[in-house]
Amino acid sequence: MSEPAAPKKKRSAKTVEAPPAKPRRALLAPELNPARAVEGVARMSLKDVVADPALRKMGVELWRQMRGTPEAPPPTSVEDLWKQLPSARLNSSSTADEIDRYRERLSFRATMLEALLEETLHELDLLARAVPADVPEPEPAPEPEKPKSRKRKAA
Amino acid sequence: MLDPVFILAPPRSFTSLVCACVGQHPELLGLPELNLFQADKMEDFWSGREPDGQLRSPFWAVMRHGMLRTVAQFYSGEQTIQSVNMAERWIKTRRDRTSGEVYRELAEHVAPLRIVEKSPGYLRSRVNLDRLIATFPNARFIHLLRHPRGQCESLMSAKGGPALLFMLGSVDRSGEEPVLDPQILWHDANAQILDFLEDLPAERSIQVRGEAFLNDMDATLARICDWLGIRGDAPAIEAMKHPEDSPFSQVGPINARLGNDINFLNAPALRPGGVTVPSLDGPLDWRPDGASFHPRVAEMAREFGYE
Amino acid sequence: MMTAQPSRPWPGRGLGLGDFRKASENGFGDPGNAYPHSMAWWRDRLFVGTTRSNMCMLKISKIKTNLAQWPVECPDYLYDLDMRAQIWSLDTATGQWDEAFRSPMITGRDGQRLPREMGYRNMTVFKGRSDPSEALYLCTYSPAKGIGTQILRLLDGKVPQPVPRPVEWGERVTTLRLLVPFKGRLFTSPTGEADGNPNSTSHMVIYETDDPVEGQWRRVCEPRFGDPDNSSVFEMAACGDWLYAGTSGAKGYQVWRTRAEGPAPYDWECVLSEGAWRGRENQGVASMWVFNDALYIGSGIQHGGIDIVNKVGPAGPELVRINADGSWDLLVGVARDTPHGRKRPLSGLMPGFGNFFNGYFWRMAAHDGWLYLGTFDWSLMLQYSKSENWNPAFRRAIDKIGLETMFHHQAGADLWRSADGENWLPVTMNGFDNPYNYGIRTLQSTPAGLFVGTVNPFAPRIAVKGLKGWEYRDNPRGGLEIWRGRTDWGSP
Repeated sequence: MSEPAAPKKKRSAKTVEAPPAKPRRALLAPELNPARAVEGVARMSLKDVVADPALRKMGVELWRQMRGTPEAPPPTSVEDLWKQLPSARLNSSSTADEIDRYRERLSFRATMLEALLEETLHELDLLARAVPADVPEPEPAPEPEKPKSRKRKAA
Repeated sequence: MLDPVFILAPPRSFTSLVCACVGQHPELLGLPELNLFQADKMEDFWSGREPDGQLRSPFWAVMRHGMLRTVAQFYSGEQTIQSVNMAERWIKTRRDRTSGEVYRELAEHVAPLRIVEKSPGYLRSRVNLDRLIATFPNARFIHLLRHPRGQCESLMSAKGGPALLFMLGSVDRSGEEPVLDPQILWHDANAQILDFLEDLPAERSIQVRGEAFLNDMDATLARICDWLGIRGDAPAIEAMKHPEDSPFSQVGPINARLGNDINFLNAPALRPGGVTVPSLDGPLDWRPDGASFHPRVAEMAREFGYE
Repeated sequence: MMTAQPSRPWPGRGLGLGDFRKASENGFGDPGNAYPHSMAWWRDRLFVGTTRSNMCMLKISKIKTNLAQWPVECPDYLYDLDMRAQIWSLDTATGQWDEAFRSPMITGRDGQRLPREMGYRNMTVFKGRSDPSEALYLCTYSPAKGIGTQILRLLDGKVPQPVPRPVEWGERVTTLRLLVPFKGRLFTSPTGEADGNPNSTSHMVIYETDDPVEGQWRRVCEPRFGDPDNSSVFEMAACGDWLYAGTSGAKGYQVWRTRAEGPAPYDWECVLSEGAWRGRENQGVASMWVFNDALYIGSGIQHGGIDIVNKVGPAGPELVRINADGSWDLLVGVARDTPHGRKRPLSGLMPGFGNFFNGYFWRMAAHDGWLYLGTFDWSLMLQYSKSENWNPAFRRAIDKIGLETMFHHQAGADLWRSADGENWLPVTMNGFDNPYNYGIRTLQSTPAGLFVGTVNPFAPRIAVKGLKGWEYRDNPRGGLEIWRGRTDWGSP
């Protein structure tokens, strides 16, 4: 099948790097909501929401409404905002057997990774005490450096 | 390979249904939301982070579902936990490529079928649309329309709709109290689409009113076929009336469930009966002050043929 | 109204775990049948050749192991066991298995009564010049003190008859792994010898004949392809106009090819060397298969993925592909620079499909538009192994995970599948839920489905660690299994 003629303005990859074209139609958002980012259909600036008590109140109410938890305390962090409710049910096309096998596989992988992590940290501990063969030990001997602590979750 | 057909519209404009219907044409292939053009590099697509490290969206993990389901289906003919894991590897092995290169690879893989896709996220920034047209200079666009009252009411009543509006800044802050007002999003999204399409030759885009699509499906589908230069015979039209036949028109496996509106995925078939087209006049239910449409919203809606 | 059914650009349905059913277990009711070493579709029936009690064979072999506890109860004298290899055949319409043949007994070189063969290591369908119709050719695994390997032909009668073998083999060549038809001829090469190793030979040369009944075997390549490092031709496959041969050797495998035209020995060209430039960890070519006009090559390290004598492994196997134009791709494995440029694994999978315990990519077969690949997974042997010889970090990690957990979640061979050779997904990663199925040795595509033969020598009694230490107990899950996969179980 033949295609119609190429566009009047030929675009190249360079176009992508150029600043976005200025909208020719005046948008409503900048006019009605100065807190909102003006370019395109973008996200509300979280900073501006936090700074505006009325917007913040509205945001918290909508957040509670979306989660179906009218009594929930307001979120205190971005992580809190998107944390999924433990009660959320996720329907899918996977069968019970597929899900069970997947769960088993992931759980085994978690066990393996935990063992490997422990072993890796053990090796790092050794390194922290290493005295290089080619560098004379300074006087007095420095305190052994400990590896940075890592957050770990039980599998 | 023919460049894809993209559907551009604000949210809740029947995009899922129209994309699935049109994509069932025997010469076309409807896909879930790929969201590819929201990132330049595949590495950034996978991580969901902008080059400056900012998370693109709190929902990014979910926004990859459409791509995962597509790759799983293309290369294994199935969407299962295992094939989605396979798709993750497919994407990761392409982490150094651009999203455009990968999109072209997909389009070439399914040629001579022509991809039909809609990712509402493309409208978040003109950069996304420019990336799209740089990749597919001959892409075609269906500008899908919906009456602002119907679209706004639908968004306000959808689960998570008001929160989405808030995040997208569809808030009237001109009064003392902020008012969630979906007409802002309706207007600005359509304005951006019009701006973008004006740069292209007229034959590369078509406006389709969603209500007309649902109320007079045969004629609207025939019009789309004619515009795309593809067969518009009765069996083809009939195929397009079965969006539920697409492998993407149901929830996916547990590790890539979505890729489309969950309500559509749960009930993808066309329902009998049409839709009523509301009026531009009169107060708006969601406005506590009893306001009606902003004059510019009403003006744009009239341009689209609404009353 | 009729809708226009669009043609869809994705593969037809492949076989998932749910599409497989067990067609036989416990070695056809005789758990001494440990390896389904060969499989063929002939005259509308499935034939399976077994090898017997391999774990007891290993115990008396010269192969060095690192086992603290022998996994299977074995008599002091191997031939106190019934070591006669068997051939079974399946009527797929009824599901009925019949024992088609059992090795006769012979008098060995030391005067002992021995089975003529302990295993059938390969079988293939071929019509030679003197064959009235397509015959089933088999090659045997004979006792070291027996009469040497045989090439057998099954035609109309129920008893396969020996055909001549290359004269110079004598009784020393004990086992063959290869019988490969190409351009009207049958090709083979010795795999192992008496008093040595089942996988290396002093006769490393390829032979052909167009008339096995008359013998007339002739050499078609230079011994060891002129490289003393090559220890055997471990795999061969015909692909398009080429016959490919994969070797094993200390520096890594080589792959050679010939059109097999003109006077013998033929012109051979080396396509891959040094284990596709991975080196010794790609010790040998364990499997080859042609899929979509390309040749797929799976590697392995002999003796279960850890070659103690040569100090190779553990290291997971790789999969590479030689394309019709002679170029090659790394599909599964380690990214590296090669004389042909940088190669990255196109599947995104590390060696062994990312499974550290996979020792070989053992068998491949194409079926209904998909390529299937079965592995050998050695993790089951951990519990019997001398842990004091392990790398300390590995030992600590396994201690933490627990052998019991390893047994339940890791042990058992893997079967993977791909519709394009690049994108792979697993069918099973635990031997079809039987940890004792530690290898997939045979795959046979038939009109009645894909048949999978699992290696399971953990029978009849296996070592189990109880409160009072190790003891041998019956293993109800021991003996080879045959699995059958099809997508249309509902139809006849």
